[in-house]
Amino acid sequence: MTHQFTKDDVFYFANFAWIEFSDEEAEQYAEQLSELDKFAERFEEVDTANVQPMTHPLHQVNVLREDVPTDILNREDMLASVKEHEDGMIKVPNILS
Amino acid sequence: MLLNVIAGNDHRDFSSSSKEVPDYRKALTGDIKGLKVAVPREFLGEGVDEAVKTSVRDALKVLESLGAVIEEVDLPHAKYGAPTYYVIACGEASSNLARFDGIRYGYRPENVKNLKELYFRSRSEGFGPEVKKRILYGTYALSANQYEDVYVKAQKVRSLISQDFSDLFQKYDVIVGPTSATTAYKLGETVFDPLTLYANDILTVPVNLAGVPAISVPCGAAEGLPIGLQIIGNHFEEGLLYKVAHAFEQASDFKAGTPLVGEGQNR
Amino acid sequence: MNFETIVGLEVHVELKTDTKIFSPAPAHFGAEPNMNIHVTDLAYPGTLPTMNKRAIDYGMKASMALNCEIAPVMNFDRKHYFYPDNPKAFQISQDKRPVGANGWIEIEVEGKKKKIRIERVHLEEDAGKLTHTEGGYSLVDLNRQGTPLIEIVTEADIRSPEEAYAFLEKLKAIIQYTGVSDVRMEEGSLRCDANISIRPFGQKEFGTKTELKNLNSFNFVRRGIANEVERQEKILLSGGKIVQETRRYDEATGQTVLMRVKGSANDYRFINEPDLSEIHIDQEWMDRVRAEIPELPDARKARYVQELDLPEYDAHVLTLTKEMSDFFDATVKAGADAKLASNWLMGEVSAYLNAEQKELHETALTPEGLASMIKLITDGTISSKIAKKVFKELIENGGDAAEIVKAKGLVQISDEGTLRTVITEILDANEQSIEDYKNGKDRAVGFLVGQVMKATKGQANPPLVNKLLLEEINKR
Repeated sequence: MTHQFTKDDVFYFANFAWIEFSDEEAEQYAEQLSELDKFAERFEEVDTANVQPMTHPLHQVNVLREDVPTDILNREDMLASVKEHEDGMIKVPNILS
Repeated sequence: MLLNVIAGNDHRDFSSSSKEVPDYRKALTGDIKGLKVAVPREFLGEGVDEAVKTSVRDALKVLESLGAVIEEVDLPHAKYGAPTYYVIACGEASSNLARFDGIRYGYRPENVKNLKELYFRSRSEGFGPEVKKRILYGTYALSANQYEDVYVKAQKVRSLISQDFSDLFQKYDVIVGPTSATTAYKLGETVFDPLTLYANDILTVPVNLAGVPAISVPCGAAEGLPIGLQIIGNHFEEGLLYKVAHAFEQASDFKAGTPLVGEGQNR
Repeated sequence: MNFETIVGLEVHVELKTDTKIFSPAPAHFGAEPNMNIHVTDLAYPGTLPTMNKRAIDYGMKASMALNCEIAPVMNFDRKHYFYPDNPKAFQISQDKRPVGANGWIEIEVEGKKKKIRIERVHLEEDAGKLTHTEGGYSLVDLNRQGTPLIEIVTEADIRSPEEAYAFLEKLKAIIQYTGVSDVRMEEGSLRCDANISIRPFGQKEFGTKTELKNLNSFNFVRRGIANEVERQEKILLSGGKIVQETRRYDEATGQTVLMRVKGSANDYRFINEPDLSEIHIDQEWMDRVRAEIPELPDARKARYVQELDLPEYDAHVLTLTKEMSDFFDATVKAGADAKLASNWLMGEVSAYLNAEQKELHETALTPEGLASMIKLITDGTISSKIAKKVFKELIENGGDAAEIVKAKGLVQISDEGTLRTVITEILDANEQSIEDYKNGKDRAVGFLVGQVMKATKGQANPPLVNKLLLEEINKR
């Protein structure tokens, strides 16, 4: 059930990933994604009924931290990486428009 | 030894183990008598260079001469390693790289009119083509319609790959095979074909997916290009891997020479 | 056509932990912008979440108090969306395996009791705070980023704005009793969205629902729902169709206003959070958390009615907050009559707190102090009128009622001899009133009692004055 990606697919998924592409780029990526998805086609022959998905090699349980404050990040250090800020807050352009 | 320093629990990483770390240097005894070695047929089958197979078979003889017991086995799901890796790695990358938005750090374009433009331009101008491709594929793999069939399916196949390894480690101490299906690239050699690049990961990716440790030691050369022997151990058996690798190095007559230098730029 | 109102609520409650849910930065309301932050809150590359144990305890505790089943195995998921208050571009939440599910709470509206089912309670992290400026840009403060939240989602069981109000009031009381949150809407530690639809009575299928946001008080929830129902009715009656959309309540106009139409364009791409371990909750853990839950409002209410003979209304009002209920219990324990204690707490005490905008613990009043005053009323040492003076002293400066009464000379005069002397003097000076009384004007007695009270500076025992006065008049 491999997926043949179209230019519109690329635009569709790019919109969720917040990346923009030109028409030409979208064509190229559509081709590359289709190529990549051929790999996943091989899964179809694998029977995964009753198999649990694996998210981490070590199945650890209840790794918890006590509720004690530590390692506070200094605001000035944080702002040093920020291009625009005001009153200790990070400035971002207009949300609407 | 470096591993003695870096191994152990990291309290800032909740996925790290809190197991006590042994002194790996004590493992270097040279004695591997009775070691049970499994050699997956899939690692010496189709798609693997003849020169690589020959070198690895020679290496197995060296291990045998040291008293190791060698048996051929199956690692049936290893061949799904590459697609599994691609789906999971791209899915996680699309998620983990979403934080690069130009707001708190990193690349931020000039003269943006509104927030949407800031996001789109930061990410479009900041990421390279391979990263964009992976983010796109990962976004697709995690999308509501594909999630079960692609991403979760890959996670399940990952379980099966991991189970293959656990099953073998019930009976065997280590799993041995080539590190790569071909000899190494020449230094600076340019490889364009992504499928060839992916194919070269086929023997190491299953190990990464299972999360078990492996070590690669030089075991030969073809046309001056080195060939690696991969020794895989169970979780937390790094000490045993050093022991086997050390014993092999001491006993084999192969000494790594200077690899050939090619032309061009790998990217 | 008559329509039935269908409402489901989504309530976010901030948990009162010392640190954030996935980072060890402090989680407190009211700090200077970006002072309570950790590298993980900023989503610096390579930083990883760490799980706060107390946040899980609190999530369990709230779920248990809401009669939920606790998940024996749970995990966290990433919910992806881009916004400047969401630095990782995903929120760590619980999608498929929430901490609590299938709970309920009982509400009472116009004397009718009803169970509102709770579909789920899940743990998640709060987002940062955005301030929109007039200059056309916004400012990001990440202090709140990562504050632990529980989201409580009800089934669509609510059938009127009043039921929604009663649900929130009850929910707030329960959560506040467990101590896991301040549940203060004005500080944002309790937030509520409502999903609203209507359908003709008798119809089985739900109508198209709209989501109502920006409901900043329980009253606005009630009014907002009422207004939205009215709007939907008008549309349907004029042959129109309801559009699935998000609206907000405008406090100034009392109307709901369109925010955005809900498209299918949202895809949160939920995935299991690979950087956090699974959580397994065994019986021992559950028992430990359950043991920390105090007696909840419903149980207290029942106890007040059954054991202390209080009216339902009193029991309801007294149990709205744990502080009031605890105070009442302690006052009764210190020897006060239950009904009098209830009257004083619901009356004078509440009036004082409202007027001064204070909470009980911010006053000097103690349960022992209030009980000492009530005991003086019960044994006739002071009148209710004098008690008001004593009360003012107690709530402002504290102390013991008997000592205040002694120091200020406020003891009630119940000595017959003393009172008869005063009464005789008053009667001698008011011949006309005696005449009036004898001619059938009962009001004249009231005037004479008033004169006696005035002469004794309000310290005379009123029933006794009444009795003695009539005796003396009849002698003449």
